[in-house]
Amino acid sequence: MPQKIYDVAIVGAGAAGMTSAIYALRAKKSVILFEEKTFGGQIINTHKIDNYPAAPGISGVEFAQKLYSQVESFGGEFEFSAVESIEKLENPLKTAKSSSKSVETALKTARTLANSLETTSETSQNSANSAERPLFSLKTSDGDTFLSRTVIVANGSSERKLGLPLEEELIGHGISYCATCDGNFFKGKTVAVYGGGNTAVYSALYLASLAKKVYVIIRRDQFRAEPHLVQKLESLGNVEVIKNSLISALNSENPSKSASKPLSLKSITLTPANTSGASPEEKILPVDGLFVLIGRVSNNAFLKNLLPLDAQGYIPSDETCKTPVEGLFCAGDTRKKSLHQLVTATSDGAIAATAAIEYLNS
Amino acid sequence: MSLIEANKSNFEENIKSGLVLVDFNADWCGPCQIFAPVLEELSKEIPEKILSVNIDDSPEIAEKYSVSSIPCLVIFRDGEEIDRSVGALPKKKVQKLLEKHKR
Ligand SMILES: Cc1cc2nc3c(=O)[nH]c(=O)nc-3n(C[C@H](O)[C@H](O)[C@H](O)COP(=O)(O)OP(=O)(O)OC[C@H]3O[C@@H](n4cnc5c(N)ncnc54)[C@H](O)[C@@H]3O)c2cc1C
Repeated sequence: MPQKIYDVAIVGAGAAGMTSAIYALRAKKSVILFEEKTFGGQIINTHKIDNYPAAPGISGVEFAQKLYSQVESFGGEFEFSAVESIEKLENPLKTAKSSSKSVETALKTARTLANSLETTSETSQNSANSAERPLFSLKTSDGDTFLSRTVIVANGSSERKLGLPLEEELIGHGISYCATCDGNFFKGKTVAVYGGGNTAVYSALYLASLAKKVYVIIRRDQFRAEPHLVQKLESLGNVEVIKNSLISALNSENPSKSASKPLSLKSITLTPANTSGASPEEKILPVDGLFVLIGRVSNNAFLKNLLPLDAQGYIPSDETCKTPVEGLFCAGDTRKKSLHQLVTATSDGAIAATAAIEYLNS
Repeated sequence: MSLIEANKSNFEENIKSGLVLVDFNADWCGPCQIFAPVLEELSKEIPEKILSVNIDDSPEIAEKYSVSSIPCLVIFRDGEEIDRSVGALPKKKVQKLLEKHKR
């Protein structure tokens, strides 16, 4: 069976990806969205969004569900698997002319194109030119390959991890990256929050309403979070701030006692952040839970052969959402920008889709 | 079949025989709200039982199976845990997980 060629393939069904789907679908383009987890992205763990225009107090889940239904109502197709690689297939005409390109790729593309003559969706009104344009081949974690004329990368970002031994094993057994997700497991217990930004302080405030005791550990002597949040935090009786400190080790319950039970976090080791002395003084802090909230990292490692990325791995595109690769666009938190929020993610989504539509029609 | 709300009074009885899927969830958990309708739909399509356990209403069950991150889908065969997966899944992935254990 000939393989379908989509007009727009979207990597990530968060706020940015789903918004771009709406724009592309309304322009009668065929769209496929790839999502590795569930639709909605980061925001689904937020109970109340207060800064999205005209939707005060909406929950992250409701926001995501409404957006999802909107995409579905316009006929968006979802593929629930992760995109593991994206390859640009040069069109056969162009490739044949440039002798340096491998014959194999040219043949592969020619075959693909020949196979899919019928596939330009009836609804699409792509320009005649588009037949000569490169195609993108997207490979998923399920081992399937999809073809598309354009790609919008809207893969967001992930929590930054500590990078300490035992961290992976202790996720869900004491270590968490999301207070609203896992806070309820620590009712009446002792927890630590690591980080001094807004997210960390918000999380500490939330945890203070559940836990018996909350330690907030920051690497500097000052919070990066907004002063009014910090003031609120410091006024709470069950919160203790520990400054100038790093977490240097995670200590677990002795696993040998019961091999069948999973490990669980028992304490953390703190070291002074600015040690000039030879042997820094370590301190063991017993905790039931540790919430690591030290920022986010990009998800773009799989793109590094296709695209230039900045030092942190974000896509260095401006507000046009175009990339140096023709036919490839980016939207949302994955793009290097100063404000990572829903409103800027949906804005990018609209712009990236419009750029893709223009490219397809030109 | 349809989704069965389980608590300590009917849990053991319901997992006793055959393949049974148990979804541990809570009202405050975002991904759980997205996962619930997926399981509801699936429960109408497959012969296996799917139980829903609210961990705030049934903390003793969550404790017994060391559930410390939700949503958590645990698969039982004849009352014994044989597999688990943390995080909301699309229907296709739940079916795949189940296929693995069918015989
Ligand atoms: C705790 C918290 C609270 C927040 N509160 C607010 C708020 O109140 N207001 C606000 O405006 N913003 C808030 N934000 C920020 C906001 O959530 C993000 O800016 C926004 O969600 C970014 O959307 P996105 O679509 O770019 O990325 P994401 O939401 O990260 O979505 C990206 C999606 O891509 C998927 N994905 C990643 N890689 C792949 C791959 N290779 N293949 C397939 N799928 C993939 C991911 O699973 C994810 O679903 C908050 C963020 C956090 C963490």
